[in-house]
Amino acid sequence: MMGAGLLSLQEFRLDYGTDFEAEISRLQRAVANTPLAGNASPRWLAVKLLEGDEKVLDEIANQDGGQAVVLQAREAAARLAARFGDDADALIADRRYTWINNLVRQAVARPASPTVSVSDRVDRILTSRTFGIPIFLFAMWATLKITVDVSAPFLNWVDAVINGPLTHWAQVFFGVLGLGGSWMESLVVGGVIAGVGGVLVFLPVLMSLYLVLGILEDSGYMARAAFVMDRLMNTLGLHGKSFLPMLVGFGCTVPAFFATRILENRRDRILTALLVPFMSCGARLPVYLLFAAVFFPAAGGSVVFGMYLFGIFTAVGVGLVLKNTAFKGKQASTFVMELPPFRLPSLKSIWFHVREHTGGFVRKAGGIIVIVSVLLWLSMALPVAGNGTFADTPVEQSLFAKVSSAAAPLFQPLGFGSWEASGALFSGFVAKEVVVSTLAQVYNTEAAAYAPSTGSFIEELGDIGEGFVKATVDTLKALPLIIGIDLREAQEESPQTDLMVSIGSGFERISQVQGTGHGALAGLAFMVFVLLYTPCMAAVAAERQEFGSRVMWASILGQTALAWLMAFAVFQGGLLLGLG
Amino acid sequence: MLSRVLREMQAAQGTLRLDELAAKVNIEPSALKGMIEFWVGKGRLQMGDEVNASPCAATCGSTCPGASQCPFVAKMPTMYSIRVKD
Repeated sequence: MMGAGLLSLQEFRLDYGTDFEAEISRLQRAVANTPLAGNASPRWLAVKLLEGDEKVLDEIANQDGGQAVVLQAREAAARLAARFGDDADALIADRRYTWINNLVRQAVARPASPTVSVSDRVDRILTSRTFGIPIFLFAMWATLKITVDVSAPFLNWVDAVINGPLTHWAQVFFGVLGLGGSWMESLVVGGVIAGVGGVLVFLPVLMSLYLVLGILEDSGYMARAAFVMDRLMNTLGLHGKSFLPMLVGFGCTVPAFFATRILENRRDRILTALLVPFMSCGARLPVYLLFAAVFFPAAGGSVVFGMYLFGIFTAVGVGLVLKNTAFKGKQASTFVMELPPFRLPSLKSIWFHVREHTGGFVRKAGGIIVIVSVLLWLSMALPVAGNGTFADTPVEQSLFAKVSSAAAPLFQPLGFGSWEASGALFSGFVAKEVVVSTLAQVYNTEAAAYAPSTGSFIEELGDIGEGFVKATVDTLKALPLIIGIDLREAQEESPQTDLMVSIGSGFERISQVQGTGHGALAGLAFMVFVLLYTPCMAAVAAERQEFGSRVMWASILGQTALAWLMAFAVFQGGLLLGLG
Repeated sequence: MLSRVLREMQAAQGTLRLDELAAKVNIEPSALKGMIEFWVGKGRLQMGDEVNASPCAATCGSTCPGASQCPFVAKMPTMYSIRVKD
């Protein structure tokens, strides 16, 4: 309890020590001769002058004879700084804090051993050196497991809606206009709907991912994760703060580049910028999910988690190499983190989190991906071989296939030396989701898999509603999967979409042609390549803006070379070990 | 008191939680925060909230209209570090 009444405000005078008091007295006398002294305590003004308070200095300077007082105050502050080795204002503040601390010690009774709240106990475990990292990794694994398993029924529902009724309605629309079978119908159905739809089917997955991440962030756990990983980076000899931009990089690489500004010097910023793209941004997630569902349907969540983990390990490994070679030098990275208190996540803020993130994804699908889909469709509609005509040519005889084929041999040692895969990787430079939309367009065009009519408009609306109810029931049944209980019937386990089947058979076909016969291994190598190769166009532009052309090219070339080497190691190593 | 906060930060190896540092200097975390903010004002410490406010640019995945609306910027804990000159 405070010792109220022991001293009154009138009597109180903090003793700053002999030297300070001498200077304060001199200044007090000088200030007393100015008109300002009538409005404020001369001692208070003298202390403020010593502290270098800009407002008081200005006021005094504007009085008659004030300039001389200001000069006197500056000289006094300089004398004290020289005497005590620090700025006068810091020394004055230090005296005040010391006085307050002593007063609090005298007046406040504290228990002999401080009470530790449940929140503090949880915090000690979550941020402990022993358990912090394993808990963070478990949280990541659980997040991706929930995301993949629980959202699968809605993924299939969205896919069925896009490739079923939506495609059919577009065809009917063009039929009514007398444009059925025209290049315009092909552009909309085979280009825009297939390309954008191929990406949009992952909307439920991203919604559930951001739902879980929203819960983690709103509860205060993400701040603990940043703290734990920060400590790990420090232990490894990298700058502790590097992990913060990397954590941002899990969302998008562009703001992650800007987030490197948190580091004090340019060298650390560049080093971190070279590591940030190894974090799996949200745009890569659809690629992982698609390929995991095609080649590893029984362990999709774990495979996706493995990709995230592989990215982190690669970043740490590359960081250590660079730190001991091109970026050799000591890091000064001690800092204090203020962790927010734990709290129960609010539905409102989680919804905001989900809405903002998925809204960004939808805007992207409606913007850049529509444009790229149209351009890709054009390149697939232009014949460069055979007897086809515009929009009526086998896709393997199109400009897209021809250009992509030229690069395909580069990927042959990696197991996916097909024009479809190399074309998807090239277009993925625009945005990583475009890898998926390109594959969707390529296989859609190849198969000419336009949806057949399934009934009247009302019946199709009914089918959509029925599918939604079924997806909801299946999702509820899938929820116990989080704790390992599977309530679903065997046939209910996420059926593969047409695109998944096409990609699976496409990779198997190329592996048969190459004589390896390991489509799954090639699929895994493809995922590794997508994880590590050059960041997207927007990220590259941001990197150039922040760090210049040299760093940008180092990133593009270095990452692509590393991606090739790692994918090669995965595929050839897997073959040697007899995997796949 | 104030200078001890800086000394403890310099002496620490790695990242500290605010409450850890408060325990080291034997004061309440809320009081420590005031001291830290004094040093931030003096320019001796740097407040690392740039991550929260990182500019998003018009190129942020071609989706963000501006920095404040970038959906991909994670909310990070507030950090304070000793300012190092380039």
